[in-house]
Order: sequence, then structure tokens, then C-alpha cells
Amino acid sequence: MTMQRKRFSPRDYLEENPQARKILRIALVIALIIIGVLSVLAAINIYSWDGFVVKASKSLVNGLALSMLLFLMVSGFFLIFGLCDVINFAHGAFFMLGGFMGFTIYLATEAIFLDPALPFYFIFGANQFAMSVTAFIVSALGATAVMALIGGGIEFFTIRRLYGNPIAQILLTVGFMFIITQIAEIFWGPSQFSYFIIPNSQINYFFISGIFDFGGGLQFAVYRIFLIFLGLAVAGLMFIGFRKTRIGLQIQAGIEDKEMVEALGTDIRKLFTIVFMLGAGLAGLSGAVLVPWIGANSGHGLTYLIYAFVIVVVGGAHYGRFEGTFFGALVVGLSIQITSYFIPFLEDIIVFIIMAIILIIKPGGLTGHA
Amino acid sequence: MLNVRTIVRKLKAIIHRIPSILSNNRTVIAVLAFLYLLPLGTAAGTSPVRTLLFLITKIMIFGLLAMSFDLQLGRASLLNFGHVALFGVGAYFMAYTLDADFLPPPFNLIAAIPFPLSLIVAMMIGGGLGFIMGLTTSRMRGTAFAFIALAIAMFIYNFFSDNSDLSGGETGLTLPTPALIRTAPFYLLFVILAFVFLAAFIGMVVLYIKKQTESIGLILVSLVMVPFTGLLLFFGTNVFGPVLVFIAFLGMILFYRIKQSKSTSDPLQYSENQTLTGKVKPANILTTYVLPFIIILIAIIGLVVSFGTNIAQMISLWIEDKSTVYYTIPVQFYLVLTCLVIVYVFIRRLIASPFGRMVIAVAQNEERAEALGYNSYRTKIVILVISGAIAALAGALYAPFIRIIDPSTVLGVEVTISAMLYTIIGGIATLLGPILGSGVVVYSESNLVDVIKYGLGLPGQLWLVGLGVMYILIVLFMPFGIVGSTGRRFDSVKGKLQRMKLRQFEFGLKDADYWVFGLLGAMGIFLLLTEDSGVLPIAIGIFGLLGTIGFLLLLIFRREIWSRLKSSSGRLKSRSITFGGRIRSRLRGRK
Repeated sequence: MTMQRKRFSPRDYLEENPQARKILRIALVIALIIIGVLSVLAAINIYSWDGFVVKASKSLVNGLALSMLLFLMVSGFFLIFGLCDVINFAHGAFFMLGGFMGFTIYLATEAIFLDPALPFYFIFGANQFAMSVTAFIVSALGATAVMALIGGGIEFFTIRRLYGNPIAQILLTVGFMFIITQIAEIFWGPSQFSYFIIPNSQINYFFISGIFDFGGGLQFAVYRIFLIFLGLAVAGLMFIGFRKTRIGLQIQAGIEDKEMVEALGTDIRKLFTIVFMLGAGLAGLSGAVLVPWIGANSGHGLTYLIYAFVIVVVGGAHYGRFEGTFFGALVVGLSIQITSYFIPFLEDIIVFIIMAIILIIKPGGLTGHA
Repeated sequence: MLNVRTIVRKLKAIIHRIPSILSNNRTVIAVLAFLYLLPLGTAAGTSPVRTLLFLITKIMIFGLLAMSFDLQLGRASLLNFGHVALFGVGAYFMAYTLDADFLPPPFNLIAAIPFPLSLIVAMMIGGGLGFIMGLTTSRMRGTAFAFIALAIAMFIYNFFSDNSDLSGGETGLTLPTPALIRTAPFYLLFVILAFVFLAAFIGMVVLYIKKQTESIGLILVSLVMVPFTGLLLFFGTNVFGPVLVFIAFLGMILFYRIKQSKSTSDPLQYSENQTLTGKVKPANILTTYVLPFIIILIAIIGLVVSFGTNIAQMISLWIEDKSTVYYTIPVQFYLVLTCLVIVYVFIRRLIASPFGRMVIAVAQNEERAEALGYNSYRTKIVILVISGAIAALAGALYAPFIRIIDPSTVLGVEVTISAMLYTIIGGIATLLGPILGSGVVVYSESNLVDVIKYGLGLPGQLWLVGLGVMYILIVLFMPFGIVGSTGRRFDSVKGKLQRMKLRQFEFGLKDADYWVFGLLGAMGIFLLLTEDSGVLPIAIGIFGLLGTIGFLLLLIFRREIWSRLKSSSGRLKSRSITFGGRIRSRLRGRK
């Protein structure tokens, strides 16, 4: 027998010495903090204190709003991925179509409210605020309902036959992505056109189009702050729903262990359909609330699909942790907005840099196990 | 020590292996010979075949890309979302070697690399990028791997799209055609290769007819040779060539008659050819060597005669005007086809090798493979390097072919998604699947608008919807891809066909006989796709004739066939794959 010489490998060394691991971790955290403080100081040095505060607060607000929006969308993607094991390539297209649905339903509701022949005209009268609020709520709910129906229909008629064949599911969902994108392009034009509510609305009024002004350049669009609270509210509702309601518990249990849930008497097929409806509905809702800020655009499908992938992987949601989507969305949304204010040339790739770093340090994402 | 005798012995060994190589790869050789024959039919002026050649070249390039993707997804179970980076790096490297103006001075020295060498360097660069992807990612499983690869691809895409002076920005870089492609000797090299393949094809047919001494062999060979001669008659420039090929065919029949009179149906019966040493001595030199060589020679002379004018015209075209586009299309077709053949053979050998088995073992269960002593990390990296080299080769062939490249067409995420689609539609972990899948998708992409506009009367914008509907239909009815699903369904039909008997002789199709249908299918698809109204009647005529003959045969022998099918399906009970058998067993279980 030949003697095998043991090579030195830092990984083995760290595994054998917990003391060294601890020291290294502390040193890493300290180094990260120092780097962060230094970069903040450098930013202050470049932009002056006031300019830095303005930029930082703006990017924080925008980043939080974007991350809430992304969270709404990705939680749908995560539910479908977690329970049904389907990588839904059509999710970005659902999101995009939800935006157009919200836009169309808002305008249609407004037109109905303004029609003198209908009773709504007498209810609202000249109260533009109430009219706009109602139209917005109707549009959000309507987009959710339409997308839930479409998602449920797709699951019921096609994906149901293909469980257990992930490769075929990819092909199928990509096919739906193409169909939905192309239909949207036929109706609303290519991705060069973005649709906003304000110039297209008949009364040219939207209920939260104002700006909070704190003076000194500290101006925030009210809608983005509203988005933060909306996202938090929906997230809270979902957390409560998953903890308290029967179907939420069933979904959570199904993500953990499908066979067991089925053996305990739950109709897992029905659950799959419900989850698909829920996921597509969340995509529709997030698309609809995106319209007043970024607009409805037929090119959003692929962009936001890739964001959804990144968020799930960064947050570690592919190990079945629902919190993962929340943290992943926070990381992605904040990093996009902060870099777009401070380091504009990195805006497109910062997400991928952060993802690569996180995956190299923790292959399971932020909340997953390694 | 190398001396003359060892060299001669090795050469002899190679020559002795040729017949077995020919008869082991009948379908591949038949289809390849047909593909190599196609560009010979293009005349100097505008020719309808040229559009088709352009399309097939595109299909083959994307087939290469899909094959490299399938090497990762199908064989090693590595889903790679950043595959496009390998393709795009190859394409951009090729662009920089073609024109010295694209890069700033110290770097534009790579433009000094001559053309065919730059293909190899591009492959090495792609392999290097695959190695980097492998180093950073192979220790991670599944999703993490896919997404770090995506991150690398997005880095490269953003780098190129931000530096528009490097990448040409939105308008892209316009590339010159490599000088070598426009020279006649390069073309003649491929023409010689084409004749080698055609000779191999004729030799394969002769070998086949020598072994298949039942009448079915003659029927199948005439099924192929008659349309082949017809094709030569249409695409060739004169009548004498096809006549010579037909004479070769008559020679084959003669050869078959001689062989049949000598063959012994009972293997136990004593034959004069057998000796106690176990070696079979040739009966006589005339029928074993001379006659086949005469047949092959006549056929090759016939082919040269029928296409000689075209080849001469192509060469004169090169002498007259070097920048013509007409000239480059057949040459690029040949170049891509040769690369595809090399890669196909390589992947086939790789998968059959011990390393290929190891890759599959690692893909199925990594822990078990490691427990058995295999290094899964190294295996994955090697597969990534090979696949990266092939993808970069596809990119390097694509750049001078399409002649305008910009970041979004060669580095966008859409390319990864389409490579994935080609692979899945054709069937993963199959050899021909990715090529077929890319054929189906690329052809539909370029022709779906016309079908929807003039065939269905709908607005042409709906073509992407049509593509999506096509994917959904394919996935619902063929969940394992075209090759995978038809292969599974075909097995039951094949079993029935192999047991069929007609009157006196066994109508048994053996595995070796399917080259006939492969070649006929290739010819039929080619004739149907040719956008020349003159070809279509001939195609319909030839295939209608064949169909009528088949129908008459069916009509005459219908009782026999039916009874054979019935009795053979009784024997098929034990085969669990058959579709009908499953239903029948279910019905039986209900009773």
C-alpha cells in the first residue's frame, strides 16, 4: 500500500477547527462593516452630506417599494415552485399581463363611472377621489381574478398531465410565455411603449399622484410609500393566512412533504390548482399595482422572470422557506435602487454580482441550509 | 520502431475494418451522403436549393449548440442558464479574428490567426470559459449551479453591451467573409470529401445487398436507388450521369443474383467455402472484389459526370468574382456539415466510452458514484469544458455565417432558452434529438408567418403564438421530445414489423434495414421543402408511385398481413412497452 500524503486544504482545516472558523467569521463581519462605512464615507465625500442624504433616502424608499412589489410577484412564483415543483417560466408573462389587465380594467371602470346613463354617475358625482380609489381597487382585484382564472385554467388543462416530468413542464411554460407575450404585443404594441394611468385617464387624475416634500430636495412620491405599506400588508395577510387557515397549513405541509399530506386525506390535485390560481393571482396583483409607478410594458416578462429566479435562489426559497422570498426580494430591490443612485453603471448587473457572492459563500441562499 | 511492415500492417487493419464500419452505421452514412450531395446541385446562378442550403446551415449551427447543451442537461444533468456565454464568446472571438479594426492595437494581433485555426482557438477559449464556470460552480448542486452560470453570462452580456465600441452596440459588427471560404481549393477539398462519402454510400449498399440475400433486400435497395437516380436526373446537369448510376444499380442486381445463387440458407449445411480453421475464404476474387469495385467506380463516374458542370462553374465563379455571396453558401454548408459530423462522431464515442458511463453514473447519483471511487467534481468540469468547446465552435461558425452580430443576438438570455427548447423538443439524452429539435424550431420560425398568413388567413403577427401552441402540442403529445417519444412508440410497431411474414418469405425488417426509411425520409423532406414549383410534382410523382406500390402490396397481401399481425401480437404480450398491449391487459384484468 502506498501512503497517501494529506494535502492541506483550507476547507478541511476550517471544518476541523471551530475556533478558527469563529474568528474568521468575526473578521469577515468586521471587514464588511469597515468596507460599508468606507463606501458610505466615500459617497458622502463625493456628493456632500445633503446630497448624500437625499440620494440615500430616495434610494431606500424606492428600493423598499420595489422589493415589496417583487416580493408580491415572487411569492406567487415560490408557491408554484415549492408545492407543485413546476419552474413556471410563464410567471413573468403573468406579471406583465396582470399589468395590462390592471391598466385596462382601471380605464374601463373609470369610463363606466363617467357614463351619465349608469347609476354610478350619481353615486360619485364630481368626487374624483372616490372614483379613482374605487377604480384602482377594482382594477387590482380584477387583474388578480383574471390572472387567477388564467393560471388555474392552464394548470387544469395542461400542466396537470405533466407532473413528474420537469423537462416537459419547462417547454410547456415557455410556450405559454411566448403566447402571452405575443398576444400582449399584438394588443398593446412592442416593449418600446409603456402605458401609464395619468395621460390615458379621462379625468386625468389619480388619487395618490402627489409628492411628500420635506424640503431640501427630499421629495418622495406618495405612491411608492403606499406601495411599501401595501406590500407589507399583503405579506402580513399571507403570513397569517399560512399560519391560521386550514388551506394555508395544507399548502405549507404540502411543500414539506407531498406524499404525507396526500396520505392524510387532502386532495393534493385540488391543492395544486388552488396554488396555481393563487400564484398567478399574486402575479396579476403585483403587475396591476406596478402600473402607476413603472407602467405596463410588454417587455417586462423576461426581465422580471429573471428577477424572480434570482430572488428565489438568493433567498434560499428553493429549500422551501417562505421567508426566503421576503429576504431575497429585499436584497434585490434595495441593491437595484441603491446602485442606480450611487453607481449607475452597475445597475444592470449588481443583482448578479450579489447573487454570485451569496451563492459562493452560502450555496443554499440566505435562509437555506448548505 | 516504425518500419514499413508495421505501417503496412496497420493500413491493412484499417482497410479490413472499413466493411464493418460501413455496415454498422448504415443510416448515418446514407443520410450524410445525401446531405453532402445537396450543394453539388447548386448551379452558378441563382438556384432554389440555395435558400434551403442557407436554412439547413442555420439549423446545423443551432443543432451544434443544442448538442452541447444536451451534453450538459441530458448526460450530466447540469441545467446551465448561462450557456449562451460560451456561444457568444466563440462568435465574438471569431469576429475579432476576421477584422483587425474591431479591437484597439495591442489586442488586434489576434486578427493574424488564419481562419481554420481560429475555429480551434475559439474552441479552446470556449473550453476555458467552461472550465471557469466549472471551477466556481461544480461543487454546487442544481439551482445554484444554474444561477451562477447565469450570473457569468449576464456579466459578459453587460460588458459587451456597455462597451459598444467593442461590440458594435445595437447595430452590431458587420463581418467580412473569411478569405479561405472564398477560395476554390477549399471548396474542392469538400467536394472530394463529398465523393468519399458517396463512395462509402454506394459501397454500403453493395455490402448490404451482399449480406441480405432474401428478396426484401432487393426490394429495399431498389426503393432507394430509383428515387436517388431520379434526384440526380433533376438536379444534375445532363442525362449521362444518372444513366451511369442506373447502370451501377443494374450491376447491383446482377451482383445480388450471383450471391443469391451461391448462398446457402442452412448454416449447418457443409459449404465449400468453409475450412477447419474457421476462416471464410472468398469464393472467388471476381465477385468479392472486382465486381463491387466496378459498381462503385461506375456510380462515382456517373456522379462526377452529372455534377461536373456545376463544380466547374463554381470554380470559374471564384476566378471571376471573389466577393460573390452565391459562392459562400455551399462552402459554408460543407464546413458546418463537416464540423457537425466530427462533433456527432465524437459525442457518440464519448458517451459509449468508460468516461461517458461515468458521467451518467455521476448524474444519476453523485454520492454513489463518489463512493465507488469516481471523482464527480472532475467529471463535471470535463463535461463542461467539452460542451463549452462545442458551443464556442457553434458560435465561431455562426459569426461568419450570419455576418452581423450584436450582443443581444449572440449573448442574450433568449439564446439559452432557445437552446433549451431545441434540446427538449428533440428529446434530451438522445444523439439526433437536438439537431431535429433545432430543425423543427428554426424552420417553423422562418416559415410560420407564411403558414399563418396564407394558410390560415390570420394576421402574420400571430406567428409567435403559433410557435407557443406548437410547443404545447408537442409537449402534450410527445412528453419525451420527438426522438424520445417516437422511439418509445416505434418499438411496438417495430416488433410487429420484424415478425411479419408474407407468403413464402419472411417480411422481417431487421434493425439494419431502417437506413432505407431514413434516406427516403431525408429525400422526401428535402423535396417538399425546396421552394421550387418544378420539384414538387416530381416529388409527389416519385413518392406517389412508391405509395401506390405499397398500397397495392398491402391490398394483395392484406389477409396475410392481418393474420401475421394478429398472431405476432399474441407473441408480443410479454412486452410491456406496447401501447395496445397495456390497454388489452387492462381489459383482461377487468374480466
